[in-house]
Amino acid sequence: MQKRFLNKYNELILRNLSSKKAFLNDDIKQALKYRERSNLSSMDGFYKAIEANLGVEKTQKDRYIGYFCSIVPEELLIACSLKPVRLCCEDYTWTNAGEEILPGDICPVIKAICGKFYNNVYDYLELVIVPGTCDPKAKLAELLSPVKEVYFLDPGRDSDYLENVDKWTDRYTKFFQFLRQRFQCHAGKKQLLTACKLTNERTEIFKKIYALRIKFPGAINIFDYYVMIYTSFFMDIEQWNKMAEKVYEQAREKQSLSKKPKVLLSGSPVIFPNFKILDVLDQAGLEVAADIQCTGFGRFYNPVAIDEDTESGIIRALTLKNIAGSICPCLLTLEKLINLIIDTVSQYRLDGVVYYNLRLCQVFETQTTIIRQVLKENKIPFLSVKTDFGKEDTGQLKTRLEAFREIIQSGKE
Amino acid sequence: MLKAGMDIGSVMTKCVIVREETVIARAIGRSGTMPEIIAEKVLQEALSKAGLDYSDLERIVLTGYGRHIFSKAHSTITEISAVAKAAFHLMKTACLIIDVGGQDTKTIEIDGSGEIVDFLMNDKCAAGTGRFLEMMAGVLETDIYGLGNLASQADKPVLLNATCSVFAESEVVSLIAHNEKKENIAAGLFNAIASRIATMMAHFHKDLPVVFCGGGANIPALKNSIEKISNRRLEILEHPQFVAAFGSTLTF
Amino acid sequence: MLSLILLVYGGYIFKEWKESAETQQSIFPSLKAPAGSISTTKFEKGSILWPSGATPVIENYPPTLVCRFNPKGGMFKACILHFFSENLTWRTQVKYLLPYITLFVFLCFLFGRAWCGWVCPIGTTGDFLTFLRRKMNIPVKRFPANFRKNLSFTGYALTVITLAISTLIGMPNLTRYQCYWFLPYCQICPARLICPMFGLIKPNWKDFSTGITTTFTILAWIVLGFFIAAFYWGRRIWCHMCPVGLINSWFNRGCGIELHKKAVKCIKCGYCADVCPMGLTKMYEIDKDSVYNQTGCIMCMRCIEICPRKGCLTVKFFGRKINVENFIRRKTDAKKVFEQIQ
Repeated sequence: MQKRFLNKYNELILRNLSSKKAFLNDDIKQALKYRERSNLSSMDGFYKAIEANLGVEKTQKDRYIGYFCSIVPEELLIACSLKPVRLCCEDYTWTNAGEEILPGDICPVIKAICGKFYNNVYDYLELVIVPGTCDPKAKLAELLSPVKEVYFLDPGRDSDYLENVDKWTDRYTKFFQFLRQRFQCHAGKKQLLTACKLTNERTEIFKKIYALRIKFPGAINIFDYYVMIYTSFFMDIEQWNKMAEKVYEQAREKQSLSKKPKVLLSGSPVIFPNFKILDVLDQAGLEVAADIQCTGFGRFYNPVAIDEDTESGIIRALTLKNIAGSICPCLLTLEKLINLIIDTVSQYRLDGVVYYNLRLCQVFETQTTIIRQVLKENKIPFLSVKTDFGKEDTGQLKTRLEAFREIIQSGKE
Repeated sequence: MLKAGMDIGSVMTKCVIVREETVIARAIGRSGTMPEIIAEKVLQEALSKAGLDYSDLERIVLTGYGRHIFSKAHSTITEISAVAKAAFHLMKTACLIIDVGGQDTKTIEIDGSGEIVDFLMNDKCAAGTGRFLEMMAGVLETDIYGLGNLASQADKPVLLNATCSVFAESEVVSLIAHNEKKENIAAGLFNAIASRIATMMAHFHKDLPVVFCGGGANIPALKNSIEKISNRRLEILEHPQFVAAFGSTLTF
Repeated sequence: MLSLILLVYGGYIFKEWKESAETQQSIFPSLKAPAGSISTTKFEKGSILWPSGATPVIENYPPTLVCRFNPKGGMFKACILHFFSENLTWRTQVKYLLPYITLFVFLCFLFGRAWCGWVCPIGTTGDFLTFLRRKMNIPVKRFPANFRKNLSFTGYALTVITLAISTLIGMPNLTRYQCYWFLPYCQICPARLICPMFGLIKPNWKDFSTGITTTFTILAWIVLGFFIAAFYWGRRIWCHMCPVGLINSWFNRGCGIELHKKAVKCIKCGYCADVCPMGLTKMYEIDKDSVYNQTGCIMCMRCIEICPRKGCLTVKFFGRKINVENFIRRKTDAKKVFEQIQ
């Protein structure tokens, strides 16, 4: 039985909805300009897809389901012949639109999401899956309920496999039953296996691209990289796989070593069109060779490993991939994150770590001190920067990052 | 080798002419609204003080907020690295550097070989910078140095409640209206700024020697406040306002 | 499913190896004491332990793989428990047994409990049952650590009882029914009913000749039932109890095969603990750099195959690294996916 939030008060709230559509606002226009910096012609398809995704009416025969975070298993949605659309968004225009519903010191990503929903941008979605990861995101289940049907999927707050795998499997199984019932589809083992195969192919392509970028960051621009990941949020998975493979093939020929220092970017997610931190890193002369973020590496790096190929075995394998292997700080994964950082930096000889905090995102900021201490012990240069969506502090950010670059370069001599 | 180092700050532009790591001339001017023109002017002033010509210079290094503006520069460096280099050159030891500038305050820790270990910047909020003092000096109808003089004569410094400079201004106005002595208000203001700086200092190792530079180091009252509140001794570098400009010449 | 084939062939390799070379001689010549035994007990009753239609083979005891119930096994024909039980009964002098014991210890030192995971025909049967279960889409049953510990305790108890009985019946003239207690564990072992089928011989299903044999036969059925249930639902839960496995597991800690974990690479995804057919979680829990082999580990290497981080879990044989991908048998797409970052 799916519960609905705010049942009694939905009518009240729906009365006050305004109606804007997603449009090519200034932020998106500016971000699309990064296409000119791209040196790969096969990236054109991705940039065009972003433009095409705005404002166009979706086809009626496809059923679109919105979701957030890497916790939600796309494979279950694909197995039921639904189209998953990830809705995480960092668009400044919509953050301002969301101020009506969420004024005050609240995460700007959540504000942007509310702004979009309350302006009917997502009226083509049939369902939204809200994970119970960070606090404001879990509250979205109530905030969006007047506007769209919501399913709340809660992974709990612990990512320890031993204690929680049964709970996760139980919740995923209930979710799968709900999907089959709600959308009247008969999805079984075969469809699940096909879906897992598609996502595994995607993981494979992503791993190749990641490996190429770590060695030769210039082969695929950092902006292109994030654009590719952003397009995977809404693009059909087979199409994405094909286009990404072409990009990889083209980029493989551009293998030239970079002279700039290579850094690892971690922390709060970076989502198109908010490429401010990437821009400043580029201007300060630092090359982002690797990243550990939920909107980058964390989305793809674990494959689905199916040993038990019964239906419940596959669902269990999905929980391991999405929750146990996740790096989201809401699931208390600090040790895992530190291990990943130290391992990536030492194995590929990167020069430093930049930890990006979105202002008002507390869960990332609480990790900064411990990461700094541990990296200091391991003699890895570390810098944490805190900023939000506005453009006023670009100069100050640049000073810090340039100073970091100077520290790295003098350390090398 | 003759070098010019320029620190184009948000409030003041500083220039030093250096021959073989010794400063031979200094010049300073207000940055204003046309920083490139001011930079040119300040450079010429320093050159004429040294009795030299533009063509004698082999290298011009820029630092500071406006370092990308001046087209004649050969290279740029951030003020963080510049200050660290200069402080190490003068102190030759690991230390904690406090730089109170017009619109930002930096705390930098360097180790025994002059490498920067860590740094903290306060450049978002005016309430720890020289700007704060300028604003308050205006309210008390004096300038920064006058404010310092007032503060050194205080007997009972006021405890300010406001965290933000803008609200602190209104608080000061109301204190004046309540006949609070100017000296005590001034001392309270210095304590407020010093406590912010002391919070930044607490991030670093407790037993490092502390050096003080930047425009704010020219005011003795500020140094005294910081020493009192953080309970550590501060040493002022010579010509504190020109430290960043000097440091930029040491880098290339 | 390569490993399945390897398991089956592994069993057969050792079975068929020496068959052509050796001549067929008497198996257990009717409960008569072998050369070098001290016991004077004479057992008269005959073929209770033989599958019908058995042809005799050479009497050799290197106790590794095949059960004595499959007389087509060439050089190796009986398991370690049989070896101990029989020789305790006959009080064979140690000097006759020394070569076999040495060979056994040597093999265990090399491989630890690896043959449980790769060669044991019971394990092969069990894997086949697992394959059937998966085809029928029945979910696996996972058992908690307590249950597994209790099973091991039962296994040890069985071993001790078996050896005690074997020692006792070696004393002459205890009772009329002494001979029926010969090789007590063999009589209830599920291999009695399974292994002959590997040699295409009809197993001895219903032996109701006397009260004791009836009891043993019924017990054998019960144990077989438990065995099938255990493998069908539990993926090697039987191996926690198997006495042969328990004896082999003593050698796990010092053996040539070593499993290593590099803790900094671990992302705690839980794949290794999830896939372990014995239900062990040490690989997942350990936070320091090397892993000592656990007593329950059957060295099947599934954890190493499935770990998504390259270089995190590795296996070394006397210090030299083995490339486990050569043994891979997972779902076809998984192999490509596990090519990690170069």
